Amino acid sequence: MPKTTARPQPRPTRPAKSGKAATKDDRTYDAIVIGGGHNGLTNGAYLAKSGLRTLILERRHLVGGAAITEELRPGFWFTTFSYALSLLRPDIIHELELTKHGFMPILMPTTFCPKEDGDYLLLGQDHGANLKEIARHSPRDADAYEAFNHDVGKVCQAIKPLLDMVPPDIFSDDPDELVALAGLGSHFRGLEKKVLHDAVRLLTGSAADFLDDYFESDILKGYLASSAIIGTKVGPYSQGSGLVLLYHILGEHDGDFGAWAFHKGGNGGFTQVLARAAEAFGAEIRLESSVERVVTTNGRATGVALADGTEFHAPVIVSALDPRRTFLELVEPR
Amino acid sequence: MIRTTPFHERTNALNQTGLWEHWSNHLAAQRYQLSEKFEYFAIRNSAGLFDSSPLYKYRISGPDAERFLAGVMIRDIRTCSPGHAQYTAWCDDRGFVVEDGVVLRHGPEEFLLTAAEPNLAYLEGLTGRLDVGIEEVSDDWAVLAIQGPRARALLATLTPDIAGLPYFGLTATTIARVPVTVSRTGYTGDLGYEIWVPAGDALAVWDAVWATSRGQGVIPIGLTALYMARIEAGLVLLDVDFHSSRFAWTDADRTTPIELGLGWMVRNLDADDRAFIGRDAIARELREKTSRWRLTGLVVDWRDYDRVYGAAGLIPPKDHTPVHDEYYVYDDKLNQLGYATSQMYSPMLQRHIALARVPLDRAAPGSRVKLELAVSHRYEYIDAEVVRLPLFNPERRTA
Repeated sequence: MPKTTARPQPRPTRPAKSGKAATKDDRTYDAIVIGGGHNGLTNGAYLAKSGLRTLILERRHLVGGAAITEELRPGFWFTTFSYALSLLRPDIIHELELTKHGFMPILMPTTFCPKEDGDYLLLGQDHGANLKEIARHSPRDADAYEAFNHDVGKVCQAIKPLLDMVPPDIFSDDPDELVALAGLGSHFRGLEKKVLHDAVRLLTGSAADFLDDYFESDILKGYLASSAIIGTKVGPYSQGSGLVLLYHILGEHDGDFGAWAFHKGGNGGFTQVLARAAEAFGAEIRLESSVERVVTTNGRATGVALADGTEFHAPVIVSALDPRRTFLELVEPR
Repeated sequence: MIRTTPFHERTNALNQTGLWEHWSNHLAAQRYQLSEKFEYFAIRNSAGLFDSSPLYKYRISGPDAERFLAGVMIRDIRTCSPGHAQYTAWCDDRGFVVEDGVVLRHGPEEFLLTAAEPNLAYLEGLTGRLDVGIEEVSDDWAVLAIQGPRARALLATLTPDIAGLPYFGLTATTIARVPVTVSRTGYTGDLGYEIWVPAGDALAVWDAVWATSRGQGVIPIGLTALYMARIEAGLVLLDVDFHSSRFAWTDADRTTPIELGLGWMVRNLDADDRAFIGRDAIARELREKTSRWRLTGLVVDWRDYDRVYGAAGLIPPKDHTPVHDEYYVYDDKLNQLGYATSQMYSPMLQRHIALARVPLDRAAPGSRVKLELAVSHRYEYIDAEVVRLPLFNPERRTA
């Protein structure tokens, strides 16, 4: 029989529930994830992979949350919010077998920065060519660019291990937490003074201040500073812009810091890949299922209720929504 | 004097790098763009155009052509009807691989064989009293490969005949009024075709393919991108993953087809009544299980890789450049098990991968080994897992 859908069918042991009256047993799961954004899908896929009968509930008619691509005008697809692919941990790509489900990064070949006088800065894939292009605007900025990349790379190297870590509880007296805290302390003590100094400057100061130490050409500084203000309401001279700059340079693709990719089909294309992976592991995704509240029994979350009154039950309830909505709108205070 | 291929006028204009490699005394683009990574992604996401013209090509024809090939090639050519092609290999009497190549069967008595190196004297020496002609036609044909998920749709706009062409099928057709053969073959492990064009008409066909693929993300690809794709596809390369038994000095540099992962070519030996060269040795190897090793895929444990580089104070490099060199494979106690012959970081799989020779008791998927890599000027032993080849195998390749 020809396949009518590109999506892999759910495993036969976990048949889809749609189309028939749901019994109480059909509404009981091992785990329920509220929200089908990229975090909820990832979490649901892992839960399903670990063998739990998992339900992912999404309010809208498509999964993706803030990582969606929609046909807003016939024939034109828009990636509405989150648009770039970076900081995606390789474990997720491997463990959820995303390549098998259509993972397809699309790299940016060039960066183009026009100037008011008609000139421009065009950076591409060839390192030597980039240095010559920068030298066209300022010869001393060419090797300053190398120094900047090296220094910031050292900071990224120092910060990056923390991304994969659950932050230790500094108020705990649990020996495991104390060991983790001691490990973190020795990690920072082991850093070179300059790296620590640069890290503190970037984490607390302004991007422009940091860039001024290296460069004289406005076009190069402008290009680099643009990463320091994207998605924020600060200017490059504001405190905190250094952190945004660092965050963007921490963005890594294929081992290159500062490299950001897109996904085929936009970031909505990527969340479709995640959804296919989750379903292949056996997770059930239910669209247009707005969760109204978390059902609690004796102070423990035991299920969720949809806006239409349908209830689903599971011993594990995960909220992939933001904490404000989760705690102020979905659960009652104890 | 180094020569150029029939497509050179076009490929030269497109090569932004000025980088060429020498392939069978022809200039072959190493890469056309400043980064070959875009060419690699074209193969996996749209399509890449590759100039395969420097391949050696032999026309094998005559009433006994089929009998000849049935006796020389380890795959049974009699199962390849006209309009089909076969990836095959030829062996010596001891069952060691001489070379591999593709046979295109144009008619009952008409074949074209490709090879990486010259084989005319070798093949002629095997004809005996058979009524078969072998003619080198390497320069007569220009070969343009179009490889990638969009290849079928694009080629079909030029010649609808190819729309239903099966995997390893071939058809005579015309492109830009030039009579050509299109075969569904390639060296990328993806959906792809090769267009066999009379050398004098090469540019007209290139121009037609080029024109129809504008706006589709199709770009010319060089050798580096091709090698990346072929490692992911687990396709072996002569003088990298194996050596011709004719010119090897020792048996350590010879390999049997079974060892090389080509055992599927001789799977039905019991039902095969041919007396082909190497048959007895291959049958004995299968019967007595005397293979010394098996070519398999390796996937490096990225956590261990990151850990080792991190401990050395380095950022773990993820270099997609295909490395055609030996890297040694060990067990937990650092006894050498075998060696990798090709390795790279795969941007599609997001892992470091390798083609490696490991002993049979380690060849099962999931076996753990250690790969020796030089990190900060000393050898480190990094966890890797044995995986089945091909490492990347999209459905569209054969669908």
